[in-house]
Amino acid sequence: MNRALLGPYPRTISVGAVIVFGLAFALTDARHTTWEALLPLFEWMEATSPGVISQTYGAVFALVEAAHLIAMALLGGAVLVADGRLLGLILRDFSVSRVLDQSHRLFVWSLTAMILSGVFMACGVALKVYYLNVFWYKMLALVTGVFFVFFIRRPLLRGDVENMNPQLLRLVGIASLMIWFSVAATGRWIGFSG
Amino acid sequence: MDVFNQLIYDFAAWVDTHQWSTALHESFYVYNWIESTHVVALTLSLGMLFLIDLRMLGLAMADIPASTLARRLSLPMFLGFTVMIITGLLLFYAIPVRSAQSLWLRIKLVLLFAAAINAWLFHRRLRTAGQSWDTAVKAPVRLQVGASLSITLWVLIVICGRLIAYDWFDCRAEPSSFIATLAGCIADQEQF
Amino acid sequence: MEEKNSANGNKDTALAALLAATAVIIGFIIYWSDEIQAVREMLELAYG
Repeated sequence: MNRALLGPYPRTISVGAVIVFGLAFALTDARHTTWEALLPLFEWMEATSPGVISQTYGAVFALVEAAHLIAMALLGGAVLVADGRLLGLILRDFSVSRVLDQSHRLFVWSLTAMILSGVFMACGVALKVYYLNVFWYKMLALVTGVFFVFFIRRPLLRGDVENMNPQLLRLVGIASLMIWFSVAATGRWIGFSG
Repeated sequence: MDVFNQLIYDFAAWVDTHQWSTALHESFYVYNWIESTHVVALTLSLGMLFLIDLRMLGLAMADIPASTLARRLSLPMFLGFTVMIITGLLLFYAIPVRSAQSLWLRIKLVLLFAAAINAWLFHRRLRTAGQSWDTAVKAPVRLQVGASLSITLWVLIVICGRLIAYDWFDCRAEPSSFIATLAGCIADQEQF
Repeated sequence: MEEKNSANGNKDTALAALLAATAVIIGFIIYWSDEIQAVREMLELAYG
């Protein structure tokens, strides 16, 4: 069905559509309307048990923060090894697909841990982060990162990597590093704001 | 212990008289960027360290020879730790007295010392362990013990590091005399 | 036919990667230069 509908380039067309849709969303009223519609969700989050626990027991919140940091170190390790290999900086005598395949499992586990601990913390400070621009930029970067890994980087490396343009691999590595740096840096900034 | 605490307090109070220390503390952006760098550099330092340790335990990158991975990731890891040390010292410099009397920072420093000894022992064992097991999923038991210990110590170090930000045991919160001695509180101190 | 499909598929993933990576890099530059600009303005406001 895809092939009939989107011709020979379904993936490229989908990426283009996501970009156009994203820009339209960002530049029109849709962004503000969606944001307003999400308020009840964030109010509800503060009332959930993770929200209540976070607000009642500072020590629990602090330990979840530490868990989030440890998962970040693991995720960062997986990302840096994979993108470092794409950029030709590290483990050069092992093939690109091998290094990326090997680090992917760690990536998935640490991402899961980050999202679980992240949601827990967000429940504790839901109404604070709701009003922070930097929180939404972080969510945007995070969604972009997950999309980039599963929809762009992995499918690309399932192909014939050895005959691929090395400049393209570098570009993908740089873009991936930029995304995950932004996720981490905006995340830290949530703590400084508000 | 009291003499030791007094010495540390005097040193921190002296650092606190530096103009740059105050400027750094009061500069919202510079201070926060240093702290962000300290946190984000965890991905390089601990990211590489955890990968090496998990490889020894057969939990990650099993398809890459263990000692090769350990060797190759060492450079970025040390790069990360260098950034951590520099930014860590700057963070101390910005808030010297409170940091010097932080129970968590004190525990963290002891754990860091333990982690350093463990790392030294680990590398010595790695050198003498030969290469026969290199492509096996798990490293020899002696190295696995070192790797597990390393992961445990660093998890505790991160927890202590994060807890420095909390003021539960600050001197001005007047903790019990036992905690106050451990944290290095001085009787009738004027500066915090 | 099979071969042509796979060649098209490879080209498709490569093109998609090129498009996505370019968009990400442009977005990154815009966001962070805006952030740095904001910091600069704050500093100028504070210290003249």
